[in-house]
Amino acid sequence: MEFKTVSYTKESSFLSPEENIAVVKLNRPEVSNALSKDMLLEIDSALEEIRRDEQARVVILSAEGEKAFCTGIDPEEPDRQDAERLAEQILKKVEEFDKPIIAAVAGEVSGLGVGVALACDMRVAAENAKLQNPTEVVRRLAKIVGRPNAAATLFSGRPIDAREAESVGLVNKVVPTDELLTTVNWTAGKIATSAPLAVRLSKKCVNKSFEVSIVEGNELELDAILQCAKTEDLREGIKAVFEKRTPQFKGK
Amino acid sequence: MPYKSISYTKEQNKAIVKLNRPEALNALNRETLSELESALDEIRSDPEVNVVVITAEGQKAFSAGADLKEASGLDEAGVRELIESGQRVYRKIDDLPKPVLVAINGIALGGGVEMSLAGDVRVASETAKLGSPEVNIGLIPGWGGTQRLPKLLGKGKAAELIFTGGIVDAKEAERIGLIDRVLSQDEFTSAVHRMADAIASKPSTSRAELIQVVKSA
Repeated sequence: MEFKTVSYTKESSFLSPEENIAVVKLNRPEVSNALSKDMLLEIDSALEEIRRDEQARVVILSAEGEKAFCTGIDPEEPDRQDAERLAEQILKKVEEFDKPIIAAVAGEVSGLGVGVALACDMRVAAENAKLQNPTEVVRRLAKIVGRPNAAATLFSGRPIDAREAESVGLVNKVVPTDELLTTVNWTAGKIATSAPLAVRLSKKCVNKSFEVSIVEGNELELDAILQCAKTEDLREGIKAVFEKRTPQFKGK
Repeated sequence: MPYKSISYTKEQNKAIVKLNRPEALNALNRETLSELESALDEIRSDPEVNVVVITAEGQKAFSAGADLKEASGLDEAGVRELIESGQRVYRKIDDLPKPVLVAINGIALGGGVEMSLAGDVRVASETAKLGSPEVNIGLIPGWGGTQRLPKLLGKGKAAELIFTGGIVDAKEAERIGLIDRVLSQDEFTSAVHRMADAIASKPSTSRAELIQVVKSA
């Protein structure tokens, strides 16, 4: 499929020659990658394409240019409310997507752009990243940050730079701006060469962890393990441990 | 009660539980889990005990996780039983009405890390390495790891550790909040005892207070 407001490519990593990493980039740097309705619909189509693509094991969500990751809903968008509704649907899809999504953020991240970054499973930030939407941060904070003492820092209402975001746990890691994509590729490569069903099921369990009791969470885990126990990948994984070699997972 | 795969000793008001299969990197088999469960039951009802230390014999490993040799021979019912037993034992650690200090004396992988997560406060030797490599063998962390890691580290960090199957050293583990303090190898045992004594002598309720006690002991 041809995209105009996003770009969609696939890449390999040094861990595997296979192009098992899907890369979606917001591609309207001239307007700081603001979200238009067209862009939201294209993100949605790209995700659907990735969902069907068995080769794609993990997604990187990034943006063209280093100045802005995403600045929220495009002010030029005629029906703002409609665009916001659509955006909420897409954020939910990102959060629940059955393959992990890593946000690679550089530059300005504001408005609902912060929501986009926080809906992803993890975030790697360039040194020049700046998060400017404390409301959105606070709304999603409990799940993302985990440590309650971080809340105080964030309630102050001012923009948060990359280092501060890292220290409170909002981003996984901060790297020099020109190393952002190679760092994310390395993390994505690790995920892409892990057993796909195991990754998918662990994402489901992790996502539920803030909603269920430990007993219910343990039941989800048991169910996941029993599914894993039926796979060829588990047999291969255990065999590889005893043979001291890297396993080759087939997703079966 | 005599134990084989673990050891259980009491020193004044400290209960010290050690995984005791160093020759198998303290891998967790059914016997170890069931002995742990008995020890925890004993500790729970022992009014003399007011602090619990969980650690392991040997310098190399705290625990390499589930015993794959044993587990790979199990049928579905056996797998179910093994998973449920580990989950139950870790919930018992979680539910103990006494503070639990987990002292990670070396490698802690998979089920080893998950055990530590059920404790209240974690310290590790500087040579320790920690990780949840389950997805690299086709499994998920099934003894509470997917539930307790996000609450401890936040979802982003937990997702990274679990989905990549990554392994971190003690320093990085401290940076991301997976452990609360790194100890030098030489002083490990004496420091752990000092901390346990400090916890015992200063009845604390919250985790934040416990961390303070452990950091300043």
